[in-house]
Amino acid sequence: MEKLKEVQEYMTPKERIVKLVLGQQLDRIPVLPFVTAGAAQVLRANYREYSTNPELFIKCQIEAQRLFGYDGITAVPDLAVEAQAFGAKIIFPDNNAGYPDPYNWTIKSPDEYKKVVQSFKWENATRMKNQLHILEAFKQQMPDLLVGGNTIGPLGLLSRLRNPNDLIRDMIRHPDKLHEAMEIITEIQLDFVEKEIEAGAGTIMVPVVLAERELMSRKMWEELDAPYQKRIADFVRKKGANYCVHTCGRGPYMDLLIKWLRPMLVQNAHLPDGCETEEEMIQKYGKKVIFLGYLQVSQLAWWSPSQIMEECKREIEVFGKSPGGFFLGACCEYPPYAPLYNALAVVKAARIYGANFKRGGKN
Amino acid sequence: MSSKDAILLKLKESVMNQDCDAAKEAATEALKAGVDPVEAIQHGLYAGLKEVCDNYEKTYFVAELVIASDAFYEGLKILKAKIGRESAKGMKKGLAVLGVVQGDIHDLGKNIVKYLFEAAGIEILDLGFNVTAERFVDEAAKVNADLILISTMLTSLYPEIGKIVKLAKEKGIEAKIMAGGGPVTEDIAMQYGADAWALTGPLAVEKALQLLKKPEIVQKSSE
Repeated sequence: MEKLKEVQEYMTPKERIVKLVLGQQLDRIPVLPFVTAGAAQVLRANYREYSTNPELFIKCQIEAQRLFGYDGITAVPDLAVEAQAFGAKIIFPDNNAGYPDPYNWTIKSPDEYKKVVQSFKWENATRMKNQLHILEAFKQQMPDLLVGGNTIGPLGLLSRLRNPNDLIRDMIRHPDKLHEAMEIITEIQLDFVEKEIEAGAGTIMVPVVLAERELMSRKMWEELDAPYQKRIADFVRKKGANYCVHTCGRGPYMDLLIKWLRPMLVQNAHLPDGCETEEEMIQKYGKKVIFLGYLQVSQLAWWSPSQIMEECKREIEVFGKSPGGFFLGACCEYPPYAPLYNALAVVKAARIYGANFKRGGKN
Repeated sequence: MSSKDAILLKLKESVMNQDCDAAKEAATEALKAGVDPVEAIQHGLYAGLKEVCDNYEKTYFVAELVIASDAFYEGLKILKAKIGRESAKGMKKGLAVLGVVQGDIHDLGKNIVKYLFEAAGIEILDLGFNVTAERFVDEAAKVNADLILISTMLTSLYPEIGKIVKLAKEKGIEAKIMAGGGPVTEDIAMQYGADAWALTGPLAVEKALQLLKKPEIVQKSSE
């Protein structure tokens, strides 16, 4: 590998992000490999323990951040945090992130939506409360860092409570039952988001994964999901936090996401609907959002550090031109089992190829 | 329009309109009117599902595809019961076993592939999710499959593709192997020895039809 000089950092992560938004020059490009479950590796923790023991989670996340030096830290171990509070049985494998039991879905028929979502009680929401505790710890111990909370969104939560194949049928056959449930869920998620912000989350990332050509028509998304997502987005902003969107399917409806939700940042894995190239995506949407990405999970899991660094260099050159700004990082969760030396390679690439970064044009 | 044509149109439209009751009614009506069930399936139900699949991600999306497929299967159940084994065999362009690898429970993409393949006339033996390499290979051997279709959404499970390929070779399975799923790239599929990969469901159908055109498979299917 070519020996290249890394920049001497002189900004804190928070300073870096504020200056990016203001369009000022940074010591280096902000970087976020999005290491969530993968952080368990740094203390050789079993994933089950990592996901269920908040103290261990905090230790692993802080250790990983100090080791790698990326700009943000997440309080989210997996996407089944909220589902647990609604009665889902969560399976915690020893070697991967937790997920709801696919052989025993919580909502078994369309008539059960309301009953299940009404059963929510804060005293049963162990994992949500753990997430709040984690955020408080991060706030105290990592005050200069971008601390991220999340909510899975109303329809996202339902996809953890009901077999997704049946949920999809219900979208056409029983939309009224979904709306009824999502009304209730949205209120609970607003409450959760408020608690997360109070606990220390400066950013709330919401996976809005249904606003994609791969999964849903534009019309259906606007009718079924968008109004509830909008309430969450507006609320996050009202509470003074940054609202960010994650989308990982093919052909995300970037125009609709911006129209309805006005995210500060979008983390996407694929080109938006109607865009053929990365340059076209930047040209169409670069003035309206900060992009986070664009490293693919397969690359992080299977490429060598040299290949990762080459790809980071390319991405900094391409996305660095985006007028709204660019965070170098993973387009989805860092694969839990992927070697963490590639996370190190991403940060190293940011220090080399993203030195003296300024949005819209490097250097 | 003859009454036969009208019934075929009803079958086709029942699928396009994602109407399970209409599909059942039209299938029953077809049998009562003496329409050849093979023709009813091919020019009615399949024609409807093909229309849906041809317009997938344009006017039909996942939800519409799933419900259209439900209507298709409702009609198929009624018509298939009345056709002979040989006629059923003649309708197929090939037979594929399909599943999600062991350790992975994401089956939505797998189901989309199933519907698209069925619409293209490739019969699917659906093994579901969390399927061991041994089961993929044993089931393929049992039904003399033309294709093995492997799906996964988890990067950590890519080696399962290699496991299935290796086991199939060891057991002398001649079926061509395709791998896909959200994050799976062509490089990964090839690295683990798959014969083909596709980015999307519709592209997977195209690749499968190309593989099925290969002489040795055409010969096997027509046995």
